[in-house]
Amino acid sequence: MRCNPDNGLVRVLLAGALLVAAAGPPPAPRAGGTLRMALSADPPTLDPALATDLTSAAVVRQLFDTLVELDEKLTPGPGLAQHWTISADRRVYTFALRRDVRFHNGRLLKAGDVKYAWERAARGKRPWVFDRISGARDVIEGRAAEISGLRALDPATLEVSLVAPFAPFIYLVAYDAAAVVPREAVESLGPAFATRPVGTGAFRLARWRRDDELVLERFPDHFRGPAYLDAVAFRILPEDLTRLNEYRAGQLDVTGVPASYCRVVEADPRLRDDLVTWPTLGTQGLRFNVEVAPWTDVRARRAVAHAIDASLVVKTVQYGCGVPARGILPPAIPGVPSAEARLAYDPARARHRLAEAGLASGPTRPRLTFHYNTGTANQRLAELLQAVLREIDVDLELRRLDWAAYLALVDEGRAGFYRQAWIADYPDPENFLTVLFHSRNVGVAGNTSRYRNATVDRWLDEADTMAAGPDRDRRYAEAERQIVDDAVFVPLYHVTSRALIGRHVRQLEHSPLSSAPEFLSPLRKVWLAR
Amino acid sequence: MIGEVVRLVLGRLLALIPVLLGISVLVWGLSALALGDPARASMGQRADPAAVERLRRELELDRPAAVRYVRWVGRVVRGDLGLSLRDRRPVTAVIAERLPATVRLAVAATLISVGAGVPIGVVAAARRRSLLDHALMAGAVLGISAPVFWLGMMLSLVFAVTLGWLPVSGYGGGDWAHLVLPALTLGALHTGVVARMTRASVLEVARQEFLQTARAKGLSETAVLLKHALRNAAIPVVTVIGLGLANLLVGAPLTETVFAWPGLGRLLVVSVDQRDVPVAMGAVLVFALVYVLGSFVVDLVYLAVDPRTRRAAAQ
Amino acid sequence: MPPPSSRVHRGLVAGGVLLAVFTAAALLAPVLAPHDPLAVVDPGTPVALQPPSARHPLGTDALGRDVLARVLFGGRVSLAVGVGVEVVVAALGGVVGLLAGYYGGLLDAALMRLTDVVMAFPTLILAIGLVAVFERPGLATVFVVLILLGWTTIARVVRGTALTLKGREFVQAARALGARDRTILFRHILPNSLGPLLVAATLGVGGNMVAEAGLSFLGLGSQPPTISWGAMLADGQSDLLTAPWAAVFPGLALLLAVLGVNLLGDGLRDVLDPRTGVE
Repeated sequence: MRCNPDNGLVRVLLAGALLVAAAGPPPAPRAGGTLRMALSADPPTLDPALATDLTSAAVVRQLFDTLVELDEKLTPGPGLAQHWTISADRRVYTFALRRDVRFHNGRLLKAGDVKYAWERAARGKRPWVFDRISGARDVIEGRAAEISGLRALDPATLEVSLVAPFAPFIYLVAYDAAAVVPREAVESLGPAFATRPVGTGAFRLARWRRDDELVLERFPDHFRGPAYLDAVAFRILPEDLTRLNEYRAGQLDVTGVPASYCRVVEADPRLRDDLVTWPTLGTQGLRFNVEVAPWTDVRARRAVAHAIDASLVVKTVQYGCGVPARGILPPAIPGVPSAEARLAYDPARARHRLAEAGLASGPTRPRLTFHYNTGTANQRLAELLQAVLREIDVDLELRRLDWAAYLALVDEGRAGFYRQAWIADYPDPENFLTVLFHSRNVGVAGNTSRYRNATVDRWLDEADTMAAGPDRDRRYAEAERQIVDDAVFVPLYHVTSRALIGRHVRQLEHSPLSSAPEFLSPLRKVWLAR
Repeated sequence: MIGEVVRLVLGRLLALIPVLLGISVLVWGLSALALGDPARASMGQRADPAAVERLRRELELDRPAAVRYVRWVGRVVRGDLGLSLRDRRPVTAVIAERLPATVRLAVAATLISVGAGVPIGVVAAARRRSLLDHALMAGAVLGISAPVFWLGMMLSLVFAVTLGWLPVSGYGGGDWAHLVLPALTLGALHTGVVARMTRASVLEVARQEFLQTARAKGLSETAVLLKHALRNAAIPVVTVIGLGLANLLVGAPLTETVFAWPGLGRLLVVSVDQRDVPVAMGAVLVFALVYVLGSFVVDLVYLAVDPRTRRAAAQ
Repeated sequence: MPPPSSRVHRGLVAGGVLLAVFTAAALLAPVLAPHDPLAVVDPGTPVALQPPSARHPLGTDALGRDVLARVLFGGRVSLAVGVGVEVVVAALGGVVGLLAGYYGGLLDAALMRLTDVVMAFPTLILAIGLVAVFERPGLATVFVVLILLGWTTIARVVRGTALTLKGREFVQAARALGARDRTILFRHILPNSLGPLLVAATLGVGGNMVAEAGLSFLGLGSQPPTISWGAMLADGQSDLLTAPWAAVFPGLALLLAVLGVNLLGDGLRDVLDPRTGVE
C-alpha cells in the first residue's frame, strides 16, 4: 500500500470486520438429504479386488475404507490406521489400527482382516498395488497362499515389509484396491459379493436397479460417526447431454461436464456459477512402438512430434477447454518442474526430419497407420492427426477398433502409432515414467512402446528407491526429458476435470486424483444446505 | 387340412434346431477368431501377466474354442446359459433384466404403427387417387425412407433438446415420458409399412365381387370398406404387424444406442464389444428364437388363408 | 377400368429425378464442393462448428470442415455401397431362389434353412465380428457383411415366382416337349421373374444405403478420409445441442436419397405388375 498506510489498512480492516459481522458465523453442517449424482453405466463390480474402472471406484470408495486416506491436497492421513511408523531403512511400515471399526455386518475389524483382504486382492485384477510387498509376487503368481511380508502382530497392528524402499508406498495403501473386506461375507456370498458388498465405509448398498439407479444409505456405525447424508443416489445416465439436462432441471445435484459442453456451460448464466474446474493427474498423448517400422527410427518419431501443435488439439478435440501438456508428467504432481519437457511445434523441422528418415512423399514411402479405440474424442483426434500430417505430405491410415481388439493389438506390439491417455493411480512420477517406459514393464505391464533405454532404466531404478525430495524429483525430470527427446511419447494435453456442483452441496472435495463425474471424494463429509 | 398344419408345425420345429445350431456355431466361431481377450480387456490399461493368466483359467478361456462350444451347448440344452464373463452373473438374469425395456418399446412402437397406420391406410384407400391419398402415401414412403437413427436424433433435437418437453435419453425406470421418443422413432417406420399394406390389401379386396353387391345396395364407400373389406384385408396386415413386432423384439440396436435405451439390441452390441461371449450367445439365441417363431406363425397364417401356398406346400 | 393413374408416373418420375440428382451430385462432387472436404480448421481462425453462412452454406463440423462438401462426397460411398452390394446380392439371391423354387424338394428345404439362418443372424454381430477378425473396419467389411446377409429377400421373392411359374401351362408344356431344366430356367422362368426381382433389388438399394450408414454410425464402416453420411451423423450427435446442422444435413441427404430409391421401386412395381400392391 502506497498512500497513507495507516488509513488504508484501518479501512480495510473495518470493512472486513463489517462483512464478517454481517455474514455471521459459517453455517453448521446439517444432517439429512440425498445427494443425487450420475454414473455413465452400471458398475461392473463393487468388489474392490476386482474393480478396475472409475465407475466402480466411485461407489467402492463410499462402501469401503483403506488404512490411509488422502485429503484434497493429496496428503496422507489416518483412515483405518490411526498412525504408522516407517523404519529407518524405509522398508518396514507398521500401522496401528483403530479398534472401533465395524463392518456393515456388525463385526469389529482386526489386523487379520487387512491381511486377508490384501492377499485376496493380490489375486485379483490389480496386483501391482501389492507388488512391492515382499512375498506378494509369490501369491500373485500362485506359488503361495500368504504374503510373507504382511504380518498381523496383534489385532490392532499390521506390519508391512517391502522388497525395497518405495517412497509412494503410502499412496498405494490409500488406493481402493487395498480396501478391507470381511472374510466371512466374501466366503459366504462368493461371486455375489460383487453385487452385495460388505465393507466398513460410511455408506452401504441400499438398492440397485440396473440401468436405473444405485442407492447407498448411511451406515450409522461408521467409525467416524454417521455421515450427514441420509443417502447417495447414483442414477445410471449414459448420455452426457441427458446428465446436463437433468442437472438443469434440478434432478441432479452434481454432474461432470465433458469438454464438448464446457463452452455451453460457460455461456449459460444459470450454470456458469456452478462450474468448478480443476486439474486432474492425467496426460493424453500419442505413443510409438519403437519395434515397428518406420518408428524404429527416432527421426521419424521426432518428425511427427514436431508436426503436431498441441494447442490446436486442445482447441478442436477439447473445445478449447484444456491445457496443452508441459510434458509427460502433469504439473499437479508435487515436485514436477514447471519447465516444459516436449518437442516444439515446428513444421519445418518436421519436414526435415521426415526427409532424413526417408518418409518424404514419393513412391517408396511406407504406409503409416494410426490405431485408436472407439470414442468421439478419439475419432476427432485421429481425423485431426490425419489432416495435420497431410499438410506435411504424410498419408496416415486410420484404424479404429473396439477396446478389446485395440488392447490386444497394442499388447501384442502390432500397433505402431497409437494414442494413450494415462490417469495417475497415485501422485508420483513413478506411476507415469517407470510404469510406462521402464524396460522391465515391456508389454501389458505398461511399456507398450517396447522402449528399452539402459540409461533411463538406471535413472528410474535409482529414483524409485530414493527418499522423497528434490534429488528424487530431479532424477525423474531427467528421465522424462530423455523419453520426450526420444519421442517415444508425444504429450498433447493434461486432463482437466469440470463439474457442475449445486450451491447447496457443501464439502464435496475435488482433489487432482478425482475426476468428474465420479469424484472419488469421501461423501461422508458432504452435507446439503437445504 | 389338420394334417398339413401338423406337418408344418413339426417341420418348422425340427427346422428350428439346425437354425439355432447354425447361428450359434457361426457366432462362436467369429468370437473365437476375433481379436480381443475378455479377460485382458476387463483389466484396464496396465495388467499383470500372471493376473491375466489366472483370470483366463478362471473363465475357462484357456481351453480350445470347439471344446468350450460343446460344453456351452450341453449347458444350454439343460436351460443354463452360463455366466457373464464380465460380472459373473447368470446370463439368463442379464437378459431378463433387459426384457421389460425391449418389450415395452416393441409393443409401444407396434401400437403406434397400428393405431396410425391402419386408419391412414383405410382413409387413403377410401379416397383413392385423391390429393389426400397421395399426401398420406407420400408420408408413408417418407416414414419408410427415413433412417431410423437420424430420425431419432431429429426428434430428440426438437422435443428434448430444444423444447425440453421430453427427456433426452434413458429408460427412466419405466415411465411414459422416456418411452415416447424411442417409440415414435421406431413407430414411424412401421406406420409407413402398415399404412401401405393396409391400403393395398383393402383395395385388393375392394375389387372383389361381393363388395359390388354392397355398393349396389347404396352403402357409402367408407362403410363398404370398413364393414366388409377391412375384415378380409386384415390378414396380410396382421402378418405385417406380426413380423414387425418380431423384428422389434429382437431389439433395435441403433435406436437403443441413440436413446441409451437398455434393451436387448444394445445388450448385444455391448456384449460383443466386451467379448462377453456367453451374453452375446444368449442374446443371439433369443433373437433367433423370436425370429424363427415369428416367421413360423406367419407361415401358419398364410397356410390357413392363402390357397396357393397350401398347394405349393402340398407338392 | 380407368387407365393407370398419373400417380404412378408421378412417383416413378419423382424417384427417378431424385436419384439422378443425387448420382450427379455424387459424381460431380469435386466440382460442386465449395471447399476441400478434408480441410481442417486453421490454427489462427476459429471456424469449427460454424452455422450455415454464405461461405459455408451448410455450416462446418467440429473440425471446421465444410459440411456441404462432405455431404456431396458422402453420397459417393452411399451410392457405391447401395448399388454395388445390390448387384451382387441380386445375382446371388436370384440363383438361390431359382434353384430352390424350381427344383423344390430337399434342395429347396436346405436352401430355405440356410436362408433362415442368414435372416435370423444379427447384422451387427457379423459386422463387429468381422472387424475384430480382420482387425480393420472399412468399406470392404461393409460390402462383405451386406452381401452375406442381404441375398435372402431376393431369394425368397424369386423362389416365390419360380414356384408359381413352375405350375403354369407353358412350363409344363416345355417339359413335356423334353426341354432341359437349364433351358426352362433361363428362357422361361428367369425372364418372368425379372420384374419382381428388379423391384426388390431397387428397394434393396435403399436398404443397403441405410445399413451402410448405420454401420458407419457405429464406427464399423469406412474410415476417414473416406466420408460417409453415417459417420458424419455419429460425429454430429455429440454437438447436437450447439451445432445441429452437422447432423441434420447428412441425415437429410440420406433420407432424400432413400426416398428417391423407394419411389422408383414403387413406381417400377406399379408399372411392371399392376395387379399387386396399389392400383
